[in-house]
Amino acid sequence: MAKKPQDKKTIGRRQFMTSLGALGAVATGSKASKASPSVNAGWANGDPAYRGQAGKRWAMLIDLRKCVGCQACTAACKIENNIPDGRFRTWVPDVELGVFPDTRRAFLPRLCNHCNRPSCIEVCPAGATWQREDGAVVIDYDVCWGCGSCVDACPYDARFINPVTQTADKCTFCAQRIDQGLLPACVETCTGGARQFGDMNDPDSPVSVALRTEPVQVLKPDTGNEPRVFYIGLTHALQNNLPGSPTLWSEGREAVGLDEDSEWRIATGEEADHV
Amino acid sequence: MSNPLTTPQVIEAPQRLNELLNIGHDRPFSLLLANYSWMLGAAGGLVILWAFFVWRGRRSGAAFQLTMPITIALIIAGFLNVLAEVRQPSRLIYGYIYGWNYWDTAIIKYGIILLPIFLMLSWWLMFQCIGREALAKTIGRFSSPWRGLADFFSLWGRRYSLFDYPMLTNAVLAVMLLLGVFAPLYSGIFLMNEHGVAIWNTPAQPLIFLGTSVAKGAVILMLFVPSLYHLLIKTPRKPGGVDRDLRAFAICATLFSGIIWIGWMWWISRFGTIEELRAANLFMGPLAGEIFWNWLFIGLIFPLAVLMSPLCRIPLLRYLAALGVLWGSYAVRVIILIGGQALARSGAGYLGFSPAGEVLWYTGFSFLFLAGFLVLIVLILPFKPTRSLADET
Repeated sequence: MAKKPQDKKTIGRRQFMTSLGALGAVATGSKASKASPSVNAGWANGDPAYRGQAGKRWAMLIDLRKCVGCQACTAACKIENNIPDGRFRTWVPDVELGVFPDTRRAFLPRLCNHCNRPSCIEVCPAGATWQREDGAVVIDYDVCWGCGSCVDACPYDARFINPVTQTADKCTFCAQRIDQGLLPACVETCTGGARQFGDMNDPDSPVSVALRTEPVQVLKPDTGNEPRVFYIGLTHALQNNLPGSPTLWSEGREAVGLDEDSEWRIATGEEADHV
Repeated sequence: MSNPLTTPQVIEAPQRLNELLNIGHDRPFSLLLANYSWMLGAAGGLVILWAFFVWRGRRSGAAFQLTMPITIALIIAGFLNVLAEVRQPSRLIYGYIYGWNYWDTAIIKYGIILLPIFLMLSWWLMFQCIGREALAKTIGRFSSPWRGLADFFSLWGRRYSLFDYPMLTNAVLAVMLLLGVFAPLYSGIFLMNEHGVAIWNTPAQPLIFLGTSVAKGAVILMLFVPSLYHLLIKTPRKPGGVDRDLRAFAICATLFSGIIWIGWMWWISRFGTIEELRAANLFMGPLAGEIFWNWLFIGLIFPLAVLMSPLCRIPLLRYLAALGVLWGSYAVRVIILIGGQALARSGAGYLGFSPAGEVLWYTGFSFLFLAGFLVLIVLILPFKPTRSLADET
């Protein structure tokens, strides 16, 4: 979450005592509630940017039938959140399904899934990432020490190390926008109207309506993370890690019959683009 | 593809799908993780064996005196790798203050508490192992202010001896044993908690890290410590022979690591999820050669063949076997690291792995620091020449 300069973190006496209390809880074997990250200064101070909007549960619905792969969402996100080159909070992989000549293209918009049971939060040693009351999983960039635990703990590759801040980074559902009553930048920019955003606790929100009326899927349901980004039209082939030839590993390319001239032969049509 | 839950198989890379625009974010862990896992593991393995032998009454000789300096050098050099790996090392302090809600899953929190305790106890025990008399003799020569400083750094070790108090000694040994087990398990459990990398979500790798660490500790104590003692402190005679207990520890720990590895690979091929099978495909495909030579052959088969046979009587082969154990222990960590991180989780394909120059620099620096710091400690402190470990057996 982008923070203002006056939000600079200081450790006051009350907070220090809270920390001691947490240590005591550890010593006695009791477990603090995961719903209240009491050792987070912003949370303890009731900062709405930390706590989120009570009573809401934000979710996103992506209708793959409407996605045209224009990458407008990718660009909007990068501009809104000032994401460095080569890193993405949201992106749209362009996938070819099937074997030539029986092929088709598919687009699979990706972002943080703001899971109900986020596996990234529980590995953070610094309490730098937490889930707000409205479900958005956010990061305190002034506390994160950039150990990378959360990056590998996320099964969706949604997190990355930001080379500018040298901390973990990810989609926040554009928390700075939704707290002002705006839509996330990617939703507002989506040219095909494929992305919808809403409150799951509101039965009339577009997301709630779609969840009741459309067959929806989530990515990698077996992880148990309970994602809150839903898809319409997500086929089984796209649902889990896309299997594919090891295109980036030179020895692996050879193992599946590709060699250094494969790209040329693919480009000239001598060879299908999928081995 | 047939159901991997019912059909034992290692999958071929499926060739039906190909991704045109494949974005995979950089993986956060580098060789530095393997470095500190190796160094802290070696420290733990050494201390486990040290505590065991001290408990059994071995309170003199090279292994007794030199284990703690080596442990200290390993912990500090390992911690240098942690500092280099973490992007904001100045914020490590937050680990003590924030985030205790997840005390049961964020293993790093225990590392930042227990490893400094491990270091401090090792520091204290280093002076206790030197002995009260030797310390008193050396420190007594200093002028007053320097004597105070030396007393402070040696924790007033010339005024008392831990080993005069059996109950306290046993309590300290128990604590050191626990810390010695924790240090090798730490990085393995850390990887095990990384939910997003299926191949790491297994207790197999902490066990492999523990097994290889004990094997490392055994060969270091068996061969390198007596040699170091002889080289640096000019012991009266060259080290010779092999400590049978340490040899047994090295063999058992190496066998244990190998059995866990083979069992793990079998388990994946029999019961693994698709993502685990994809990692196994990497292990048994592009990485198969590296795994066989560096880990299975150099790290397991060759050392076991030497240590379990009369070949162990040949000094050169003995040292090569020990080096094999050390190298294999490092290789298996790198292999597990790459096996987890090379899978692109946002799409098809494997990510290439090539260490950055900065990482290689830190790696070289930390290993040089390890050697230099160890030599410095051993040369400065008044280690008393005593029998070599081999003489004790």
